[in-house]
Amino acid sequence: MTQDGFRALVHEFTVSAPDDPPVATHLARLFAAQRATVTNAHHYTFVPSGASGPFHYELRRDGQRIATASSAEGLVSPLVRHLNTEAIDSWLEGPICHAGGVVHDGRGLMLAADQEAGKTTLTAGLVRAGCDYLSDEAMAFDAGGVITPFPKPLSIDPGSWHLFPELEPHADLPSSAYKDDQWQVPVEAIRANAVGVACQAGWIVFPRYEAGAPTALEPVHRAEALIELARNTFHFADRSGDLLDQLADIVRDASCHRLVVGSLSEACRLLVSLVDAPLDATDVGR
Amino acid sequence: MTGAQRLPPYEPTAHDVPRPAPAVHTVELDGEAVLLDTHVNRLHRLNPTATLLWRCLDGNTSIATLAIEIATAFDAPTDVVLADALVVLAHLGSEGLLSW
Repeated sequence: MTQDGFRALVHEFTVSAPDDPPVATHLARLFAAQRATVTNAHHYTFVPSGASGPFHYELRRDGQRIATASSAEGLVSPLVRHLNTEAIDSWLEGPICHAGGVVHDGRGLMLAADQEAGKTTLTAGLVRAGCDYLSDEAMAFDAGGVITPFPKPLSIDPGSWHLFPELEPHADLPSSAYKDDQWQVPVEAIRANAVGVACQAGWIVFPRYEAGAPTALEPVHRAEALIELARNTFHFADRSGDLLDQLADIVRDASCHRLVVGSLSEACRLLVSLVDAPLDATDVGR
Repeated sequence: MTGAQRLPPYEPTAHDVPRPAPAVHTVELDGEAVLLDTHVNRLHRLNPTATLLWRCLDGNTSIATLAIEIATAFDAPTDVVLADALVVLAHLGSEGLLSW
């Protein structure tokens, strides 16, 4: 059945909170950048479980319970995390890398790294600086090396809240459980009309946050970049040979760098300079 | 990518005729090879010199002959090339990347 819903890469879904209209409103705003006409959607519902005890709200997927919380709003972050996993696991078109990313002048800047490296923080900073948003979690490539945007809500961890005080969610909900562990921020809250379009990767950057370290951007050889990118590719071991060839094609066309982040503003300045420079001048990833 | 497989050390001689192990998948970027051992999902990066040697491993040519060909092409002493090649191939063999 064709209906209005949302799409997380190829994972189609609808979401409803029939007993909590304010939560439903919050969710609609949160996933606005992923709005789509869907035909084969999974249905997520926030419902009271009827159980006594502290966890009397449930998040159900197609009728099956997948999470519980003490309030409907406490299920917002679990839903975002669940959708990340579903989006990543259902992507079979090509490599899908653990990376944030933005678009500048039609080319993608990819920030590939494991957890806690500062991908979301950098992505948010770059969107604030004028780049368009692809994702803060996964760069999904098709077989031709084109990135499909995955404009999920940015999931900002407490350690970065002080860098974006203007992004603190203020929803009209009974409790703050929707933002206690992580802020889920729609990209529109950073900048209007900031969702990027499908593109190829022009730059691949491997960021690493180091408190107090001098912020520095340096080129890396493409062979080194390929190995690093493979390490940050979901399900690489399942079909490593094919994925390595596809990742090599992606790396071959990109300028590759390593970034130590001590200061967000300086890191964003360096990256904006990188993408503003003529590609020939930055083509030093070898 | 995963834990290293413990293999006996490979001590090549000039008469050996090594070739890439069947499970090894190779891509090359800017003159550097990246080798994927699909048995253990482990990646290796070769420098340009080792990449050149790797490209020459056809399974028909002995290490001694390869050393002569490379030495001739690069106008280098054959004994030095042979010694270097044996060191590189010992390392690659011990990582499970060669058959011989």
